[in-house]
Amino acid sequence: MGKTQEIKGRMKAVASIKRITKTMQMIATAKFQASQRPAMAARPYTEKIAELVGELTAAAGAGGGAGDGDAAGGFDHPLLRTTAKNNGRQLLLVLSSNRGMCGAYNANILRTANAFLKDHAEQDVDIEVVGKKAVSYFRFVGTEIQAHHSHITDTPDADDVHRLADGYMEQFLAGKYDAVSVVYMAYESASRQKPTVVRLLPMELPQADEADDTTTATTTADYDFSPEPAELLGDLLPLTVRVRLLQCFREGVVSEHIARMVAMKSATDAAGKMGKQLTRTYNRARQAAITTELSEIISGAAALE
Amino acid sequence: MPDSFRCTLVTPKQQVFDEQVSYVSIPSWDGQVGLMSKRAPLVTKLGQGVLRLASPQGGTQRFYVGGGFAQMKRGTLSLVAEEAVPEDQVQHTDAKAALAEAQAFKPRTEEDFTKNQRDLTRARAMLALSDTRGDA
Repeated sequence: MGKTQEIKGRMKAVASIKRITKTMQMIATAKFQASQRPAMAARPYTEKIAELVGELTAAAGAGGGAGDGDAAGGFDHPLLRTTAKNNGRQLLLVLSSNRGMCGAYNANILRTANAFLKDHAEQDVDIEVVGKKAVSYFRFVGTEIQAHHSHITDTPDADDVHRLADGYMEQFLAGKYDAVSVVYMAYESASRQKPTVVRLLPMELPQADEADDTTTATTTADYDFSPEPAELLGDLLPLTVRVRLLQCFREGVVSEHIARMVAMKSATDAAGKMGKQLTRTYNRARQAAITTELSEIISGAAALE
Repeated sequence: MPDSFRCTLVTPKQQVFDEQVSYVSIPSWDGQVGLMSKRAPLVTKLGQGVLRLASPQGGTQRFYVGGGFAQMKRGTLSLVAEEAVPEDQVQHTDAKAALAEAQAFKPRTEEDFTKNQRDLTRARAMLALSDTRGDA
């Protein structure tokens, strides 16, 4: 009798775990859909901004439309400059999640971050972190982190992210860092997410040729600029950095929800399978108990005769 | 029917507008700029103000636009705005309250001051938008 009771207890536990994981899966699905909308809605904006930057740098670099000599150096904007000023001090921002139960999501990000750190072992890399999971990881391995931006949660506020981007640009321009990179889970499609390292600063120029099917030199030369391209770029480049960082945050959140959704789905499936197995074992044990009892009664009756 | 061209308006939140238009008046950084079909390629910075789009069938749509960029290229006008509010979502009373609030605010730092200036311009433009409703 003891054995069936024990199995019954486990069946109950498995059933309630299944209920919990199923709920978590449904919550993750809802959150994924909610977070995907803003991330996707921002895409045309991000693409258009990138296209504008490409055209403007081409125009400014060619000197088209630029009246005076130094305005012609559109390529030479401080945010684009790659010269090493500070023996290669770098900043790495790691975007992890605050909560677990999302499969290998954090592990993948941290592995990518580690690979980055290994690649830049001879340089000083300061680490900044978003999300508790990365904090506890770096504490565990004993790596010092510069900052933990705990105010940015899984509903990233545009203003917070903009402030963060502004801070990075300031530090970059002040020469504190030679490069600022971000590790995050890039969202490619609902079935594909990839841990990615993106260099935020100095900016990598978008391929102007790619954004434009005709030759850039001819199209950009015809533009009327107001104000001058160099001045426009001065406004546009910081905006681009902000938009890019925000996109990283948004995609990271979407990927997190997908990862949780997938992890919880397989947990639910596994719990279902285990429940079935347990029911079978339980029935078998119960049947065995009944059989034993019956044969005891029969043999008892036979002994009386 | 007058010559029309394509005009798109995107913000960080969404694609707001993508239709054929016959005339567009954009709030450029240095004043209102009118654009019609076959305009030469143009890139300009947007200020805060009222965007007016006239459709070839007649009728106009108006938006409050808060900064961004405009690009005219191969017969298509692309507006990339930081913020765009359709006319019918601008309430006179709200705009008035926002203006009063911005006017009452005493900026102490440089940052506050620029933000306050933005708020003031925004509220004034919104107010102008709601006041002239119907006669655009």
